[in-house]
Amino acid sequence: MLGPERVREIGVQYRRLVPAENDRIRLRAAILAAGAGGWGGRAPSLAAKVRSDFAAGRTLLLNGWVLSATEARQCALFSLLA
Amino acid sequence: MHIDARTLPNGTLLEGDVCIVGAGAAGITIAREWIGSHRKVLLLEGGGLQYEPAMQDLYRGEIVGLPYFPLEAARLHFFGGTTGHWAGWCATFDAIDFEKRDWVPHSGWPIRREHLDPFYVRAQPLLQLGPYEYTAAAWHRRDPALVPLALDPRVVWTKMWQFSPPTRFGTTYRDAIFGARNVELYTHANVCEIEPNDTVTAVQGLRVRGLDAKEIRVRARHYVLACCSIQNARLLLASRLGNANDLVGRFFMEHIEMPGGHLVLAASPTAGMKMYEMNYGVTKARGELALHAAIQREQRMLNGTVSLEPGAPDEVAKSTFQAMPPDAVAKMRESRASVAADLPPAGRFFHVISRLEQSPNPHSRVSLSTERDALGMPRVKLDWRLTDLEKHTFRAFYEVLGREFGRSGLGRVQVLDWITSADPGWPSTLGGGWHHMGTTRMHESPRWGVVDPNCQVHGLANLSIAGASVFPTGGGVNPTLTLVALSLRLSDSLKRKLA
Repeated sequence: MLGPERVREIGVQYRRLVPAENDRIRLRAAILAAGAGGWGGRAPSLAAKVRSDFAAGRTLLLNGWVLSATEARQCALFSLLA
Repeated sequence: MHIDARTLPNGTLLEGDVCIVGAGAAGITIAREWIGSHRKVLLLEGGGLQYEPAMQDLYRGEIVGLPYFPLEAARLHFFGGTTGHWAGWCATFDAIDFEKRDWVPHSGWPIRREHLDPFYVRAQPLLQLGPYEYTAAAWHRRDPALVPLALDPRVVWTKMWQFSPPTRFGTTYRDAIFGARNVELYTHANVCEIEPNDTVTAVQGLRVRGLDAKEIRVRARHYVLACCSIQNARLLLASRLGNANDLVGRFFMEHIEMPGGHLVLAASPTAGMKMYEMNYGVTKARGELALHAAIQREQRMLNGTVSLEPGAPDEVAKSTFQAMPPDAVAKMRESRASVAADLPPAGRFFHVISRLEQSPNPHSRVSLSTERDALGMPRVKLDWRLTDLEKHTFRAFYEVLGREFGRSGLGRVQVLDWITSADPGWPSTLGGGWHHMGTTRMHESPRWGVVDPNCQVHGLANLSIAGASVFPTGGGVNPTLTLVALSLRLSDSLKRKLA
């Protein structure tokens, strides 16, 4: 939807905002803690987690985008990997 | 009957039962209600039958607050008034708009939405609108292609609008007014002063002046000011009437109309986006997104709606002021309807354009300038001001919207920088809807309002005010339908009074 450059920018912004999660291991753990199963079954569980974040108000404003905490962490992880 | 006041001898005295000052949407609505009655109605219009620069110049004024559109371009000064260039957007106020909200200072009407409902029904055909239906479900039944987005209506709901052709009151109702035996329309009849009786408890007469310095006088049993929010206040201030509590001209309100964000849909809805599309001259009804009253209470925010305008990510959306320079407004006067064309299919990217209520604010006001117009009347000074509550409302609105689009899986919302910025100022995209409201607000008590719940000026037994100037709050939608409904209500109450 956004393209890699914007996703990376959002990720960098998240890591600045939440320095405690500024590494791959912690981000991965936080994302996976969200859903059941590992990366193998992640697609449905992450989508459910994202929805649940929005419903519960676990959202952040990053580069103006209203994103779920899970999405923001995914962007942060992408910015470290890319 | 129509008489050009310029043809009357100096010193003429006009007498009638009801005198209506101003022949725009409010004034003509009331005059029509009296056609065929046994009461003689005098309808005074300051301008002529068409646009005249000299008459229009009488509306010029100073802008001293937030940037605003030139006042002489924002209202029209001829028979039919500003309906000569309005765009025809109509929607009803919500029940919450009439409530006292403890987080909105000075909010609360002395009447409720249900008091206005029967008059909304009557206003509908006057504005050449469709059936009195303002729910998405009703319009979906009429046109199955009108499908609201699958959002939780307890959070974000689709508020319906209807579109008048738009009705130009000066042409649509010209024959009815001209042909009425008991209605005398005087054009080029600018009221310069309202004269009270000795005890200042009632109006004794009006002084009308022409550009040729001729004066005529008007006497009636009852008088109605219906010359728009700024001019109603100007006339009262210049006449030093109705202002014992320093309220006249205060609480000037607009709707804040400007871009606030972007929406990217996850996928184009299979049902399409016709519900939210606008094709001028073709679309009869469409939806905008609004927040449920419970969310407004929870977030302690004002009311409003957002429209979804198809666009592209590299475009910058404009506010109404930016998109509509004075030349374009002038052109609108000439057209009955915009040229209809098929809309391209909507993509997944939309500019989100806000239309938000302004918090009633005594410091946002119209006052008199030291400069005088060609008739010797003091010009006006507009000091339009906004508060932190409007800024908070923008931010809360877009965050709630973003969460609901995310929760529903329909898409994501991006909020523009100025909304999230800590800067308390407003960006250059600030715009209004040319909706002037609130300068002679309605309240039970003269301490807090210029007019009472029947639109009669407190302390003046035979003077009423029609138009959006009586609105205590402005709601989130354009004022015309509501001001026409209130004018019908005022007319009914006058009939009872004069019976």
